[in-house]
Amino acid sequence: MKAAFESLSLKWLASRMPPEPSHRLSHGNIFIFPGVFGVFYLVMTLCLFLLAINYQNNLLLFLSQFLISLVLIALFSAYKNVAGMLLTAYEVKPVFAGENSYLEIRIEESDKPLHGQIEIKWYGDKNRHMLDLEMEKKLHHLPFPTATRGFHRLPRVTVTCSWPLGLIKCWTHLDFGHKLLVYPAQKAEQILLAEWHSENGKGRKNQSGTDDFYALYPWQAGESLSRVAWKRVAKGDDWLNKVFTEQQATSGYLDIDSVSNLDTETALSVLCWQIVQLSAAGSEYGLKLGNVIIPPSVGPAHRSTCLKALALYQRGDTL
Amino acid sequence: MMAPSLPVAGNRDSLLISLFFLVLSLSLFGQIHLWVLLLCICAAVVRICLYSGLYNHMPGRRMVNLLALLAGVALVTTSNNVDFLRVMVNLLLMASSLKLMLLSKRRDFFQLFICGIFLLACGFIFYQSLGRTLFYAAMFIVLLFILFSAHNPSAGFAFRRNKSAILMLQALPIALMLFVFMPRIPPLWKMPEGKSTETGLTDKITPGDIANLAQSEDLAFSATFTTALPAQQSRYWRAMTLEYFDGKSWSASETRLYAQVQLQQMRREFYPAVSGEALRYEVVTEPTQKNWLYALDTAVPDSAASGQALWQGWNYQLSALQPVYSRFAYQVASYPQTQRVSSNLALDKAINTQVPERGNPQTREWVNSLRQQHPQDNDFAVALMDYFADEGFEYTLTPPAMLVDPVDRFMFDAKVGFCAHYASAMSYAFRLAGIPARVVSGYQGGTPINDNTINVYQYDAHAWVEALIDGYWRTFDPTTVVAPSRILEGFEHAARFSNEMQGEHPLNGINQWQVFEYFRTLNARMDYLWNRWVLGFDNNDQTDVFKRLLGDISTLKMSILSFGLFALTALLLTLYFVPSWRRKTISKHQKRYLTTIESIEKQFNIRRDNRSPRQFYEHYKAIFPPRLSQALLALTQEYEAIEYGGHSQGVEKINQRCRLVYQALRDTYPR
Repeated sequence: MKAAFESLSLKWLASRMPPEPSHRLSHGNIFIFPGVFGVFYLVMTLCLFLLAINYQNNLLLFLSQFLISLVLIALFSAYKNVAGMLLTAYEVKPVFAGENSYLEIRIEESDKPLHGQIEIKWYGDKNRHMLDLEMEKKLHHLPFPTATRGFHRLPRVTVTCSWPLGLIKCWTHLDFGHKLLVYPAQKAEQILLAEWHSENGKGRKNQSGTDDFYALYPWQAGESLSRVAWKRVAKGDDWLNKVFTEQQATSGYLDIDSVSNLDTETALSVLCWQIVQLSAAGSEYGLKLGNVIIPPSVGPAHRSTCLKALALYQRGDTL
Repeated sequence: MMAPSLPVAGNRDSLLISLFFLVLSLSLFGQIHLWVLLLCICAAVVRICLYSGLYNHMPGRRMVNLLALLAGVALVTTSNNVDFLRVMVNLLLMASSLKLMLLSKRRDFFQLFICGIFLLACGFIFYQSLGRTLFYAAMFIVLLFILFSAHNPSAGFAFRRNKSAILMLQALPIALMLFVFMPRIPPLWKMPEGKSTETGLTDKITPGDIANLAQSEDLAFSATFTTALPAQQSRYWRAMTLEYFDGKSWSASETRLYAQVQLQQMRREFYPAVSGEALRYEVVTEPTQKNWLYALDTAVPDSAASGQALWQGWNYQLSALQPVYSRFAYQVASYPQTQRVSSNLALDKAINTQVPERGNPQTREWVNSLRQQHPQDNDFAVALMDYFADEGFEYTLTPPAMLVDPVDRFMFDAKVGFCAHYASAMSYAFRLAGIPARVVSGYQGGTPINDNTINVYQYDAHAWVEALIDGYWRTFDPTTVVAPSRILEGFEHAARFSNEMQGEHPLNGINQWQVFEYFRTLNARMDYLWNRWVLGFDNNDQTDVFKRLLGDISTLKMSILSFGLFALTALLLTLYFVPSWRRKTISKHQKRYLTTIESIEKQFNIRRDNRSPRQFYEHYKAIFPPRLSQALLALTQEYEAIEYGGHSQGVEKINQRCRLVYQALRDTYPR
């Protein structure tokens, strides 16, 4: 019954507020109603009104009428505060299963400053996060716990605001349309790289050795992103290119069949860990997952491709 | 939105709301138990300690629950003989202070807010004077400010103050409109009656009670005359007739009350035959929680509305159909020259010749002998008055206690007392002589506050005698012969000039100052206006407002009016919330540019008027020294680049250019 209602309301929401990377709040997507406190407040006002007429007390009567007028004012103020607010969510980075993924939501005001605090949470979730709108930087990272690998559609985000007095609650359920890729969880276990037999008989190419880091040069547009020194970028430096004297690494295939003694999920976890390790070491590796064969290569892009393949292995969704 | 849980230490709003409750509980001092007040103070202290970090541990939930249990038991045991409303206030305050100790959640905060509003409302029930109302209104504003603050944890004080004030000011006109135009509803059910501790008269007089009453300066009612004011000595405001005597106290007769209920059910109201000139006036009474009303001598309702709300009893007594819980205004006409015929001779006689079978033997004997000397009722009455006049009786508000056979003690031993002693003794004497008589309790006199309004205070309370002689009820006031000044000049005057009262009555001494007298009158007038137009604003006044607005009241006009009010509310809301008419806010770089130009204007004594920045530069560049001219050109160019070129991050650069202009300015005229 409850589930049916939930799916019905989600369907209705989907038709009313289709997915969009950014939403501007307006009468089209704001719900507005007295909150729990507001309902109690109204009940109290009614009690005061009854007291006022039974005691024929004008002061009390005026008090109850003032309290009611205040609700009216709060209703419009609450709407006006959130209307025009622009919420944008950025693409989420893939994470390993079991880690938290963070949806970064940026809030911008239209022409007037925003007031009060908003509550951000996932639709139907109990964990609430507060964000103060008076702050200079209105940015919130909403954590999304992950458990299983594959593509996940992020649920709607519920944003609630009850400024100015807490009597009236304005809320909305926004779908930013983002999908989250969850890699398998990592499991540390050494496995050997299967040798690479080239089909046209070029011979072995499993030179062992380590990469010799040589220098950093300024990155220029058009160059591969794979050699950018991301750690430096993250620290706020200019973009630099890592240059190696020799691109040498252990090379070979990671094959799911080589760990067939494990069940599929564990095997994927082991492969996952391996890829992360190899990639960190700058080694060249390929991946064989049944029909899916990714030829050996290096760099973050390759790493992502491999991890994605792991995440989607035997999952119908190849989004 | 507020965070679901509040920090314990350093939480501004928790501290503010606890201080609010502290002040509120202190203001309700007279209404609550002392231990509840102490509990409130404790809660505030706990909160202050938690706020300042002197003490970091919240009281445990278990401990507070135990405290709650104890407090509940204490409340039950100390609440005997306390009326329902006061028990509720005590309970609410007790619960609030316990909640304050545990306050750590948003929910708790909201509960406290609701309790706070309720307590304020109770304040309005207990006290309705202008000063108190202003105080509670201020408290209400503070409470709303605290609620608003809690929803704006990081906003500055000025913003919170201004914004919450704006919210309240926006709500005010709508509330006023509702107040004036919303139809008044009669009480839906009877509320538990409060004990009338504030108001003076009681339906039982045991001589001794009225001495306390005389000390009270509270207003009893105001009367505004449309005809000339009657003289001081003829202003006898009847409130109730006390027709049952048990040897010590006078109270309302059960038989009379029973008859009244029966007659009210049968809707058989008494219409006294009135004659002579009428005194027309409107009375605004303070709440008494009782049905009795005040009117001079023989009075009848003087307006249709009053006719519906008032009941004329068969003992010539006006009363309200509903207990008077709040200020109540009614119009009456009094006919002092009317001879009051007994409405029901048999009943009046039966009730008013009742005397206790035993007690006061001396008085019985004395009355017997006096009656033999004066078989005529009139002569007997004169003889009684003469006795009080000639036998050395004195008027005092502090008579000795007379516990056994009080009438005997008063008549033959003490010979001192106040109005109740005299009225009681005289009525008793009449009854012993077989003449129906009763004590009338009410007020005598009153203080004119202007040409047509009289304020009657609790200290004007008085008691006198009515005796049924030759089929008519006649009024006797034995106090007049003992203390003529009490009647001729009013209680206040009598008290001030009687030696025994010096230093005892609150009005003594102070009144002699002219300035004080002026302010006292002013205060009384303001109170009157407040009572009449705010507290006493009722159905009739509302109808008057409608009539003044619409001419006469018809269904069509009333519907147009109600529609108009809706439209007005909508218009108000549009005014508040449609922003187009608001002044456009200027951005930072504009502000910076304008202030810089202002300093140039001042230094060179020139005006930019409505020239554009470029025009301003071109117009005045000749009079500027070259360095300033250069700097200003750079500033103007930068400003234009931002304004028209669409550069977005220009504030820094504008600042830099402005600094250069300032430097050039300083160098031009070194100080």
